[in-house]
Amino acid sequence: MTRSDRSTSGPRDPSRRLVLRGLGAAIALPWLESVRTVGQGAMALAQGTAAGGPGTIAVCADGMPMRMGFFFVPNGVHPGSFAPRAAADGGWIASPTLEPLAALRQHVSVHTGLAHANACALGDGPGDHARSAACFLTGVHPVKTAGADISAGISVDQVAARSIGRVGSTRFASLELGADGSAHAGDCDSGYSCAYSSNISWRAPDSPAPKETDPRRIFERLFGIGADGETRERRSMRLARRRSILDLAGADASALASRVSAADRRRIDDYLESVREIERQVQAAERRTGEVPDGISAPDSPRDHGERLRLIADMMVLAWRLDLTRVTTFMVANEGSNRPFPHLGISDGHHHLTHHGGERDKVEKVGRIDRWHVEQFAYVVERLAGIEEAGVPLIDRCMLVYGAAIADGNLHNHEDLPVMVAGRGGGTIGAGRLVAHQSGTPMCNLYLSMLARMRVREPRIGDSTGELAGLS
Amino acid sequence: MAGAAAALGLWGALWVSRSAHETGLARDGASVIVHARADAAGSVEGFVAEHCIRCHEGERPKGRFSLEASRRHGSWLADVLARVDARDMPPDGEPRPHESEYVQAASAIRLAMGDAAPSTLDVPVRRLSREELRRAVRDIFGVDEPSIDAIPADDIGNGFDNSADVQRAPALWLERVVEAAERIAAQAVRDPADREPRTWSLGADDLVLKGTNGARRGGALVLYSSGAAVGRIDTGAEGRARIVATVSGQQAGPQHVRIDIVAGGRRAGSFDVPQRPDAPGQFVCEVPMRPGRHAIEVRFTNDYLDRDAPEGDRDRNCCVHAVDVTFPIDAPPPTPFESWLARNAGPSTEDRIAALLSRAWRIDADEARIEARRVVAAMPDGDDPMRFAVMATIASPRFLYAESVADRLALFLWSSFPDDELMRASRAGELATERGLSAQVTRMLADPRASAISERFAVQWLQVGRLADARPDPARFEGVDRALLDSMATETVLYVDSILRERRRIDELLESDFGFMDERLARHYGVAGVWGAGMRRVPLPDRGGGVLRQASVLTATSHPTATSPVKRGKWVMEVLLDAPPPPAPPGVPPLSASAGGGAMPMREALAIHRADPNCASCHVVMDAIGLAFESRDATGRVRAAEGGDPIDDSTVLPDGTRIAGVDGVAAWVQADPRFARALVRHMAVYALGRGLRPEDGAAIDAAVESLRHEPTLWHAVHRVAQLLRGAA
Repeated sequence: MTRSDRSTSGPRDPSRRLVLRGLGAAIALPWLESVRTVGQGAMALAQGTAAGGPGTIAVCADGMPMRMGFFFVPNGVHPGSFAPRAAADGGWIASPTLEPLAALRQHVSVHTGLAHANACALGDGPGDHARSAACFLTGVHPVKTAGADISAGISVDQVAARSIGRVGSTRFASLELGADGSAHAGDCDSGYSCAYSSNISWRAPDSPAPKETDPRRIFERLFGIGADGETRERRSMRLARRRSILDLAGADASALASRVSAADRRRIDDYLESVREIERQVQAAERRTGEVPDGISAPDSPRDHGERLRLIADMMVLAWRLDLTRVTTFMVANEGSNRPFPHLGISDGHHHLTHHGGERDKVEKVGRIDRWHVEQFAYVVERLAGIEEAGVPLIDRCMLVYGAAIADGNLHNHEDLPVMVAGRGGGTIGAGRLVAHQSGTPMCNLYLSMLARMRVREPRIGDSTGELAGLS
Repeated sequence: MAGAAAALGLWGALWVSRSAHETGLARDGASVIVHARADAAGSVEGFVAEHCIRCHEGERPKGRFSLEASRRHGSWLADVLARVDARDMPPDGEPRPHESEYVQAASAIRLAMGDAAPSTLDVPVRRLSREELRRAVRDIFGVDEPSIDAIPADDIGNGFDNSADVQRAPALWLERVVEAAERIAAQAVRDPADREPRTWSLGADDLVLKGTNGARRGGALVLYSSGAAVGRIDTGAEGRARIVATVSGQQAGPQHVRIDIVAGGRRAGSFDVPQRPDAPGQFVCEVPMRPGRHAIEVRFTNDYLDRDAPEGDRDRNCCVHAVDVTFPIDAPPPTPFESWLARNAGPSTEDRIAALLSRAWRIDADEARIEARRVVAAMPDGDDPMRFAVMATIASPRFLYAESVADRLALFLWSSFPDDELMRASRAGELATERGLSAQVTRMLADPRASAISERFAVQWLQVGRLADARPDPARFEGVDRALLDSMATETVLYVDSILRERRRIDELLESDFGFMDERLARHYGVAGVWGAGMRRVPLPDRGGGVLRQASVLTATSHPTATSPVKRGKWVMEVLLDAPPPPAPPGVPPLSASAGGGAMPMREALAIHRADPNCASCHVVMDAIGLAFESRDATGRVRAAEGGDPIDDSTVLPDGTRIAGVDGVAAWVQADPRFARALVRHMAVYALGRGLRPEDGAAIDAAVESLRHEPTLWHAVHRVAQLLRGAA
């Protein structure tokens, strides 16, 4: 092991350093300025709180943007090394797995007792991995199928994204990020389509929102990079051309939809919906005058797993910082992932190890992987905490959930899930505490509370029974 | 033969069903069919009584499936048919009907349900997968565009990445397609502005000395001895350059100064330079250049010094005053797409766009002309028409979605779009007939593009794609790196391709006397005499070839550190027999734990596993098959021992069948009628772009049946292609 991937400390290669320069305090990029050049909503937001305007959704009490994110870990955790102890002041004392968060404790609350009942078999037999990923943000029991009639629910991030998209607060209604692409072959888990285990974000019950897995491509998407040194004329020609092409394509799609069967039409409608979404993005791009803020440059796409994860995390932080989006999901790996961790000295696959049957050596390795994932989460929290936005750390206007829908990877149980919430949600969430909920409390109650803080009013989500007590 | 009586009854029903369709309909069709249905229902009862009732009646039916309840629901025929089509009931370990009984039962059930066996199947309209898009773009535009990789990977449904069932067109997907279309257009159609010639005027100050001393004097770089004056240019493209060198000489001795002009390492001209420094001469040559940075050199080749000679005739030096390079001076070479347009379209923009649309949207010339006018009308002012047209062509659902029989046939066989000949056959109505379609299949299978069947279908069916995620432990399997894993996958692709093109028997997929390898893969296998990096066919005596012995399959079904007999057994059941075992219940202790944590041979560990009744029902079969592969390690190498213990790879199936090693597995699968079925079913899922439904059963059965007479992979592809005739 020549490179220490256990450390979450500073950048190593130059390209990476360049990305980060714009994130930290080293360059004082005034946030409003950056928002004015890159985002479109927030400046207007401070004033435009008229009904139905951008200022009505995903804002804190002070009118500043509220961000909501979800950090998903696969294969559950080993509860024995995860569970923190209660401190006398209502806070928590780091367990071995949570140790990387010890120094950031004031930003993070740990919640126990939350459950995802709809990730259980409920008569469908095995397939907990697929079910848990599909259930994680939807709270819905997915239909068991290898392909036809795929159905989960609409995920909490997409519920929020839809409201945000409607009022047009940000360039991207949401971002879906992750380390792994789709599966390469076969059935992913016990007769469930791979769509279930490789997605946590669902736009519609039958339609997952695919995730970005390449830091460089995420960057190019965020900033719409054209050819190097593109002139203003060329850029406006490119956008005009894109608009015409979308017009033509939209007309073709409508014509096609009218001559195919109802079942086929569903797939064409999908296309039409996307045409409209991209038209909206083109409009946003046309309004934008500035380019990439100074001090920020495109990252590489490193092979090293840890480097890549942290660069993706950087992109997430950047998008929040510049108010390009307020909703993000991040799958640290696909559910059921069997990735080995050679840089941790672990050559067996993660999933394989979680079925450790109590064998000490394997339990210890699972704990090390869990801890490494927590390190990645801590990295995000640390970045968000290190950025100042209008007088407070950015993390204070965030709600970032760490979680899984499997509790113990060895048992595949779905109650007492490992859950943490980082950030204060614009002063509406208490941080740094250990909150014990009654066992079996729906995880979706947390989501419903978060939606309320995003000013998205839903009667319920998934199996929620009401807002979560003890969050604020 | 316990099932013989019932089978006979069903055979009768099947016969009735044939006569009903062929003769009865003409006269008193309705009543004959009613009778036939009644008979068929009776036969189904016989089959069910024989094979199903014992477990699925009473208070606590097995698997919580009760035939009585199913009858009450009115779904019993469909329920039984689903299991019969899947061939997963009765479970292994129970007496199983013969394959012909299954086929007859399925026919009888369909007849009783009143399903007329459809000869063709519903084929959904679906979008191209990323790999199909890549190939279609390559075929039509002659461009391999890397930004296609940025399109999100397709989700897998029913085992394949082209499944209409799970395929969606989210915004991110379309966004990436549009971006790729921009880059494809830029590659397919040259920008005239990029070909404006430019001139580099390199004066004495821009030139540097190489291999000689010298000095800048009087506006020239003076070379004192043999060497060169060097300037640099960056062409950025391919084309011809004109070089004008302004040179003179301080003359001495019997010759004039001589120079070579060298561009990009290539000598472009040699000249005698009689001029003197006060009146230099110009020396012109033209030379083809490659894209990139190049040195332009003026070389002084005949230095002369005679210290005894009189002043003025003593020392010969070369003076380089300037080098002017103009690039490019020729017309741009056309791109493959531009050449295609020149051959296939008239000169006007509208003609050219119409030709493009006709080819890429698979529409006839008249419609293409109308569409071309639409495209031209939508073009923003000042845009390049052909580039715009290429983008509009690709971004449209008329390009991105497959609709017709011709589309589906080309996607199945080539993972790309129809060519002109297939479109001609389609317009002539030839694809509607079995013969016409078959003729096209034969033609298309002879085309190099048909390797898409091995590259796209076989790789997914055999789950070799999982190698992309395989990370064998480098400490245990030294030298097994990404390149070797890629070679493993390539072997399987080339192997299946040869089984297909050489019209070999499907049995030979499992076992044959050849393989494909490069030097490293050969070394991995311990095969001598293969040198170099190219993959080539290698004879493997004693039936040493076949996918069961290929490192691709064996590695993809292993853990990073060790073999997994369970995964290998599961792979055989799922892939080769289409009989996936139900997955393990949660909380099951893994091998080493149930064995007490100590190290013990795999075989003993698995035996303990099977002693648990929770595990036994599935593992007896999976483990027995998987253990027969134990002579191959987790990367597919032959091994005689594991951890000091000799390998024992002979096992016994629950029904008493003895399986001795990989040979035994091959023989056992080859003898099992489920193998041909599994191949046809998987291939049909891939070709149709959807999961199979109960109503597909009869057509699938007919295809499987015909493989008995001609059991080649080539024939299987032909039969499955016929299923596509139902496409709109």
